[in-house]
Formats: sequence, structure tokens, C-alpha cells
Amino acid sequence: MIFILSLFISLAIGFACTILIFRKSSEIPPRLLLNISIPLSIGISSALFVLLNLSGIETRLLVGVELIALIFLIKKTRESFKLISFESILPGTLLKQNFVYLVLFILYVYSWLMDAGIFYFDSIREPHGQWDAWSYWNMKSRFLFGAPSEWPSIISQMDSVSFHIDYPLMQSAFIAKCWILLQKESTWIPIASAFAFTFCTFGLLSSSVATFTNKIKGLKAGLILLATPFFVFLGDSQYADVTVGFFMLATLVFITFADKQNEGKKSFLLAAGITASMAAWSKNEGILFVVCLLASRIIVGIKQPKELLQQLKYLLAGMLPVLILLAYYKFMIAPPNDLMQAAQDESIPAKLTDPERYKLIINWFIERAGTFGEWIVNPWWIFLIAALVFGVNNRNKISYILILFLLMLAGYFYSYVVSYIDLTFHLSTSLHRLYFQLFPSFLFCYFLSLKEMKGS
Amino acid sequence: MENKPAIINVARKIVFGVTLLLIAWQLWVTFSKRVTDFSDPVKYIHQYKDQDFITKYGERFSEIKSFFSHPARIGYCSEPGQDKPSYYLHYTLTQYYLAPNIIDTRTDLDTILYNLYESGQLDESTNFHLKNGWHILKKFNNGFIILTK
Repeated sequence: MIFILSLFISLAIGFACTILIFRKSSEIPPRLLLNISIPLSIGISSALFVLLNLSGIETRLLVGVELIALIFLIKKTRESFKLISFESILPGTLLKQNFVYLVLFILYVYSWLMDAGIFYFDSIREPHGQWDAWSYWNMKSRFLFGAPSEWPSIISQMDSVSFHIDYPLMQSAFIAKCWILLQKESTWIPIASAFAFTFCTFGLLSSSVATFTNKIKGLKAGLILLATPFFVFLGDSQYADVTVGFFMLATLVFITFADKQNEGKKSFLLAAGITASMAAWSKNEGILFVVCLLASRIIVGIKQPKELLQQLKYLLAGMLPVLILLAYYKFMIAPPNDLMQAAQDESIPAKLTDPERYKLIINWFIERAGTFGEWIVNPWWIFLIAALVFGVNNRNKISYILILFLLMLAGYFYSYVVSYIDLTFHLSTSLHRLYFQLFPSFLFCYFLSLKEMKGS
Repeated sequence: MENKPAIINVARKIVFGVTLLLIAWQLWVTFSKRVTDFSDPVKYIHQYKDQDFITKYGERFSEIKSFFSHPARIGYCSEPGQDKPSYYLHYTLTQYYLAPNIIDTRTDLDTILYNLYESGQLDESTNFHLKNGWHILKKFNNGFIILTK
């Protein structure tokens, strides 16, 4: 009972927070609202749980704290509920659309249901997820669940190389919180969490592209991700790559809102800061994302320093609470990261000057791009041809995202160059997942930059 | 020159159509691979529910889990001669199921857990620990044996 109550309150908090972000907009698209608020509620719930747990507050009391926060949020957002434009999702509105839209909509619903079915079947077959899920993320949940007051001292003594204890707590903490309230370990919690992130990524991509361009483009963007076989497998494997990818996408969506609208700019930048910090709270690559995001905004905005400083102020204000919590976990509780430790050893200069390593990494980057997503035809060719035929522009002010991607890829590249793990093994087990962290954001950027087709 | 925009529009429509066809083809291929799962989901669930290696492996832990009332640090020993990947798999699974206890790869701790998944038996006449001051604290009938000093 208390678990259902807590889940309901957490979801309501995410919902109210999202309405608060959009309160100065003229309307709130309901699909966008839904697909942001569910993962946001999981993120907030996870961070709150760790914060209160580290403060010595029992998990059951957390429900009370969440309830107080919810009452406060409802008071703040009461007036904004009427902004939700339910009209756009009514069946009558759907029937008024053109033929192309209806074909795409049917394909979208078909592929959504098919992917949901595949997700369910895979979860029945592998309820604990794949290796990284059970041996890193869900294992840490078991420590938090089994020793809610002693886990910091226990895991600080653990072997970081085998279990990657330093990995951020987002997924593990949310699962543990649910288990504590349920009073049992259930594999359905990580499955449900992974489902929420996977399917909200489809929804957020599609609805955000539709909001900034048009509905047909929105459906196409969502369809490409839905049709990518490896993405749903990555989701039902319960890996955090989908989680971090979701928060990267959400950050770019909020920044695009901030860049396009003067009304509510501060709220969107604050929200982008929160979701960027949630990316860092999900996976170490999210920390790289935070750094690259700030760097890319600085590079693009350096000519207008006053405006840039304003932007950075709100972004950082949104990021700080969760980043402080993450820093506390990383520096005060978890043992040091194995890759970071190894990156300081004496073999680094030799690795940095070894051309064979660069050659091998470049080959893998190209090879993985070629077999990307297990498509029957390499989708990059279609992206390239469509970009040439339709043309691209920067009317949505997304040029910074290209810089962000380049910096992210450079960061990934560097981490392989200095890696202490057997390079071929490291590349073969992780590079495709790194691509997939960026893929939803790439599709968002791609469809926003693509010129409109006449009549669409 | 006047035809150029028309040509571009045709090209755009072709690219749009080809992309749609490609997506539909990809969806069909993905669905075809899983058509048997979708055609009889009840059978699928009966066939695969709780049958995966990790869930099955976890069934061995129900008794031993309740043996440790407080989180403890326990040394870990596997089957003699086990290859490295198997050792690592069994060790990680043991840590997964026995969390919040710490399962340590060191073999000189006061409490040692033997995970004899295949043989289930400890050779008491030649065992290093039994010859060096450890004794059997509890033998579970599923390959787990706890030794203590």
C-alpha cells in the first residue's frame, strides 16, 4: 500500500514539476508532458531517497517528505493545469489529419506495440537483465535494500574493478527505494523502470520534434528510433545507457525551448540543468555530457558574454543540487573509478603516443557506425541522402549540439586511448552502447535541422 | 532553371517514400524474427518464466541468505581448477545474491564460503583450509559450504 502511495506521489511530483517548467508557455503538449514527467519523477525520487537516506531519515518517512513537496508544487502549479492542450490527442483531431500523417501514425502505433511486446518477452526470458544490469546496477540496489543504514560503509570497502561501485546511483537507488517500500526484491521494478525510460525516449523524441517542427517529422523521428532493433534490446537489458540517453535528449529539448522562447526562458534553462545533472546521476558518461554541454554553450555564446553568463547561471543552478549529491557519493563513499585511476598511471604517455591504438579505435568507430543498430540497411546513408536532398538549416539554434557531439565523441575516444582494459575487448563491449546514448539526441538535432518539405 | 524546384520536390518525395518503405521493411523483419513469440504468448511465458540461468542459480541461495543476520565480509573459494570466466561468473552471481554481505576473493579470511556448483563436494582429506585451522561451520546440500577459523 505504502509503495503504491509513494509511486503515485513520485509520479505526481514529476508531473507538477514539468507543469511548473512550462507554466509561462502558451500551451503544454500532453505527450511531451507525460514523456518528460515520468522519467523526471524517477530521477527526483532517486536523488531524494539517497539524500534523505544519507541524512539518516528512514525510507518510510520519505513518503511524507514527498507528500509535502507535492502539496507545495500543486499550490504553485494549480493555475497552469489549464495550459495542457488535450485537444491535440482527441480522436476527432486525429481523423482530421492528412493521409500521410495517418499512415505514419498507424506505423508508429504498430511499432510501439511490437516493441512493447518484444520488451515484455525479453523481460520474461531475462528478468534480471543482461550482465551489466544485474552485476552493477541491480547488485548495488541489493546493497541499499539489504542494509539501508549501513550501505555507504559496506560498499566503500568493495572492489571497484569488479563491480564498478563508483557508478552513479540513479537507477540503483530508485530500485532500492521501491524494494524497501515493497519489503521484497522484485525483478519487476527494474523492468518497469527500464520500460519507462525506453518508451519515454520514443515519446519525448517524437513529441519534441513535432512541437518544434511538425507532426509528420515528429512521427518519423520516433519511428526511426522505434524501428532500430538494438535500441529496444538495450532497453530491456536494463542498461543505464538508455537512461543517460533520455536525460541527454531532455536537456537538449529544454535548451531548445529556452533558445526559442523568451517567456519562461529561465525555467527551461533551470530544467535543462536539472536533466543534465540527472544524466550525470545516471552514468559516468553523463558527467562528460555536463562538461561538454557547458563547453559547447560557451563556444557558441562567447560573442554575447552577458547573455551567456545569464544562461550558465541558470544551467548551473539547476545542475548543482544533484551534482553536489553525486560528488559526495563519488568522493566520500565510493571507491575511486578504475578507469580514472588507471588514467593517472605511468603508461599513459606511451598509450597517447601509440599510433596502433589510434588506428584500432578509429577502425572500431567506423565499423560500429557501419553495423549501427542492427538495421537491415545502414541508416546513415538515408540520413545523409535526406540531408542533401532536403537541405539543413540552423533556424532552431541547434549548432551547439554539433559541437557537443564532437566533444562527446572526443571524450569517448580519449577514454579508449588511455583505457587499461584490453582495448579490443573494451571497444567491442561498449562502443555500440556509447553511440546509442547519443542516438536519440542525434535524431532530435537531425530532424530539427532538416528543412521542411513543401506542404508538410 | 524553372524545373529545378520541381525536380527537388520530386526527389524529396522519393527520399521520404524510400525512408518510409525502409522503416516498414525493418519493422517487418524484426516482427518476423519474433512471430512465434507473438503468436502464442501464453506458451512463451510457460516456457521461459523463471527458467533463466540467473533465476535458477538464485534458488540455491534461499537457505544460505538467512544464515548471515548482519552484513559480513566472507572469503570466497570455487571449484578447484575452474577456468577464469566460469570463476568470475559464479563469483559475481554469489556476490549478487548474497549482497549486502561482501564476498571477497581473498581466501585467508576467518570465514570462507565454498561455492562448489558442479561437484557439490569438498575433498576433506586434501583441502587447504581444513588442514590449516579452519573447520566446517555449515554444509548446505547444494554445493555451498561455510568454513570458519
